[in-house]
Amino acid sequence: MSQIPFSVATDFAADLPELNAVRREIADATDFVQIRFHRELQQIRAVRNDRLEAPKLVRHQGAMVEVMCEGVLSYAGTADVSRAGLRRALEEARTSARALKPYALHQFPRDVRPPTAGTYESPGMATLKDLSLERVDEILGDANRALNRGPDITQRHAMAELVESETWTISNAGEDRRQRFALWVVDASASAERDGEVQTRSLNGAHARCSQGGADVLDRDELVAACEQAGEEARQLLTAENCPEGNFDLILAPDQMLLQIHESIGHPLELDRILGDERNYAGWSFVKLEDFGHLRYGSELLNVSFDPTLRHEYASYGYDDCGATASREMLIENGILQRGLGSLESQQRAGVPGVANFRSSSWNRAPIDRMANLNVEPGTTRLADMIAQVEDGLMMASNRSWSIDDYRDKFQFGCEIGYRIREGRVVGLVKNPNYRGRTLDFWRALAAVGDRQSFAAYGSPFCGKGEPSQVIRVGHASPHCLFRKIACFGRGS
Amino acid sequence: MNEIQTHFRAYADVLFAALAEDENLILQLKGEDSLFLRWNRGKIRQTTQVRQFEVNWTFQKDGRQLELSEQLTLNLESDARRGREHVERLRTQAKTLAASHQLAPVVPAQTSVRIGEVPPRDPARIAAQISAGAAGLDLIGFWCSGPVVRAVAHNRGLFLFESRDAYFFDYSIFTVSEAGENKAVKGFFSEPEWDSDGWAERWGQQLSRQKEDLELLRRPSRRLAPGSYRVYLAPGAVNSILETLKGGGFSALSYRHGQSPLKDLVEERRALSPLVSWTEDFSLGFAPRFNRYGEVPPERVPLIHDGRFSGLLVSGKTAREFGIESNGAEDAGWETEMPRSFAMAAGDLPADQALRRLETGVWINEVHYTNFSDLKTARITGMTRYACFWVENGQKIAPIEDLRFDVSVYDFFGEHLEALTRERQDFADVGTYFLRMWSGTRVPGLLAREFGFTL
Repeated sequence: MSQIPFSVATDFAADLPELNAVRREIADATDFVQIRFHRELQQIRAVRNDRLEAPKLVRHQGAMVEVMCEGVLSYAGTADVSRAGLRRALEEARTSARALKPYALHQFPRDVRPPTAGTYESPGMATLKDLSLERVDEILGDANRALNRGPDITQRHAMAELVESETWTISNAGEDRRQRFALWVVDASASAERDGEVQTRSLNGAHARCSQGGADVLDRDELVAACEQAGEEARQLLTAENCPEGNFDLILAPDQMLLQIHESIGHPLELDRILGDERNYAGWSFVKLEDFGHLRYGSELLNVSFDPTLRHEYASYGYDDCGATASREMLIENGILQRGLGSLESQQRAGVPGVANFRSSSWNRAPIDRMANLNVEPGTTRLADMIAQVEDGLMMASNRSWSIDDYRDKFQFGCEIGYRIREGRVVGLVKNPNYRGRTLDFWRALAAVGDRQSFAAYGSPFCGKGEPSQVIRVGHASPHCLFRKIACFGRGS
Repeated sequence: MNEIQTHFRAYADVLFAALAEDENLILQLKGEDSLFLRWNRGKIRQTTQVRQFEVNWTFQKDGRQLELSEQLTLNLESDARRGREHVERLRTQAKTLAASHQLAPVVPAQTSVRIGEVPPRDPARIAAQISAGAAGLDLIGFWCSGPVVRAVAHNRGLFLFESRDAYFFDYSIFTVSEAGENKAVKGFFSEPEWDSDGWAERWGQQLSRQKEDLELLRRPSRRLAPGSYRVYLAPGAVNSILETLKGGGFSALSYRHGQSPLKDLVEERRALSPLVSWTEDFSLGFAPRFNRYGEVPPERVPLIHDGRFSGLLVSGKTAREFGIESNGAEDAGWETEMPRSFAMAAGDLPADQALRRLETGVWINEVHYTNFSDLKTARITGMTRYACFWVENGQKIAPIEDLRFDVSVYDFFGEHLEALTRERQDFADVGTYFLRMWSGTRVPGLLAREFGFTL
């Protein structure tokens, strides 16, 4: 019997039969007009306790029409991508832009929309056709069985999500960009329960295994091995000691660094936050515009890049939604803050350098300043040497709890698993590990940065922000990092 | 909304006609035609209009089940063509599946249509009204208006449709204290009708009342050492904490998956204060009374009664999987059932006596970024935010520097709970992830001792 392909992508152009007519129509407009077509095709397969859950297919398609009249921008989104549907959206956006001009916070020059043309494609997309739906189910079934490490394991879950996403942006100023993405999330977790105690261990924290790539992302043997380890650790955590309370030297694994980078470097450096756009919702930032080029954000070992060019990392792309070409930029060098996460619009408002990060979650949202791939650059310390530097400390991995204040200063994070370190050696597991601190104190306590061997990339599909709200995909890569004298605690502290 | 109702009926009819006898199709429609105005510093930062109608399929064939989601274009020819292609795709995929253990219920046929009025929404007039009231203030906020719709239909005769028109302005006003700190008050404005007589005056009056708190916020902040304090949580803070607890706390599916933060309460090893009663209460009218499968829940579903476990929210899909009875809860799609029309019982403390009863402690108007720090002990961490004050002898003395708390539900809704206010406040869900939410919560204020701050 022939197998069913896991990929469901078809030719995007076939879904836009009136595209050329629309091009001709907007070419005559006197105002600047941009249309961003967006289609996402998502397949989700999941196995829980050896049973396949109801499969899910998602097909979202629409267009966001953007108009600039005398420097005032306005947006209208519609799922009707016919010429008539787009004409209606264009008229709505144009009417709003004109009517609201007296109330506009800013009027922008045309160069905030560079006339960029080009293409981008995730690596390995051609191989997706080789992966069948049946094979995906088989791999997830194997992974689910591998999580089962004895009678204490009560819940086992394994899932794979593939999003085939495509954007096609045109404008009457010459923009013409097509970007195609194959976006993966592979997730698995085991929960162990005994005497009312429940411990859950996932691969790298919930939904952290995010990447771009082809069929090889779903590596059966690697996934099964990781699931065996997760199941084993969930079981072992039941009898592990509670995380001790006190100030300890703390090593964070890359899959917890992802959250630490995201919350205490990524969000505070977003220029739209610093400019106050998010004050009613996500919050403001302790960073001020005058801090760029001066602020000692972390120790001299801290180097942070914005890098949407790493091909397999989750949030790589060629261009942002206003047409800025993506490039690698250093945000923090040798501990000093250099550059913010701000689009051409924010750079224009703030007068500081930024990056190509004007991103929207879908056709139904206007772009705002977002993270993409935000990485701590590798250092020179081998993990074994880092552990050897710790006299009395902890190592924590895989995020399970997160909270930070609206200025991105006071944080508290929790992990799935901790390791007790004494006299330079790992001596056992601890459960319910948490730590808390303040952003600048924490990064200034950075005492060692792992080498390229411990460098690993993860991400999240769920970074929330904005009014109206939107979730965006972000990637974060880091080696293991050592921080001195961090407040740590366990359950009940 | 008549246009979308007609379209949804026609779309459903076309697809239902294409089904075989051993097939079922349940269609849920969620949509909006929204105007979003984003404000910063008393001006409009971004303007977006969005028209979107998402249809969620539950397709069943010979006991197999698949789910699909897509957005309607409102062009019947193209929506129907794509829909028929989906039916073929799902039939093909169904052949690879075993019989489902999560088969959604196909509820008895009925028809119900409720359509709300559609008021005008001229962006320029809205901008003029908001601006006039807020002149001279550092106002930032989010205007959201336009109709929203929820509907369900299936091929065995069900058709439920409800739409309403609604608007809100969710905002903050910032000031700088004498010590140079940024401080803010939070506000929310919504009325049944937009631009009715006296609208502008009432908007202005609300801002005037808030200017009193802004004056207090200009005093230098008090830095409090971490530790346990007596606190008053205003209804906004209680609502924010309950939003976290709703994420699995009342869900039968979360409980069955071992992820309930209230497991010990459900299994009656722990109890809350006898003052605490939580109910899913559709008599409040906060949300349509049907779920994605068209199940109609009881008007009231007691969850916690007098501090003790009473029941969990159970969707038809969870009921099928675990052999328990459904109470028509919404299957939120995040492996959990979520309350939609939630009420916390009132107490007997008059709200205007709350300051006096607090006597000395912390007045917490709002909290920010709450999350579980430990599921087993139902510990929640978060930060104070907006207009929080140090209180002595029943008087607000000074704003505080924001503090991190880390507390167990079993403490502050348990033995540390001293009183709940007699008056309650309603909170519409202002969430707009993916599309506009349609739910709400009614809560009192809360007086508690030994509330733990950690940072």
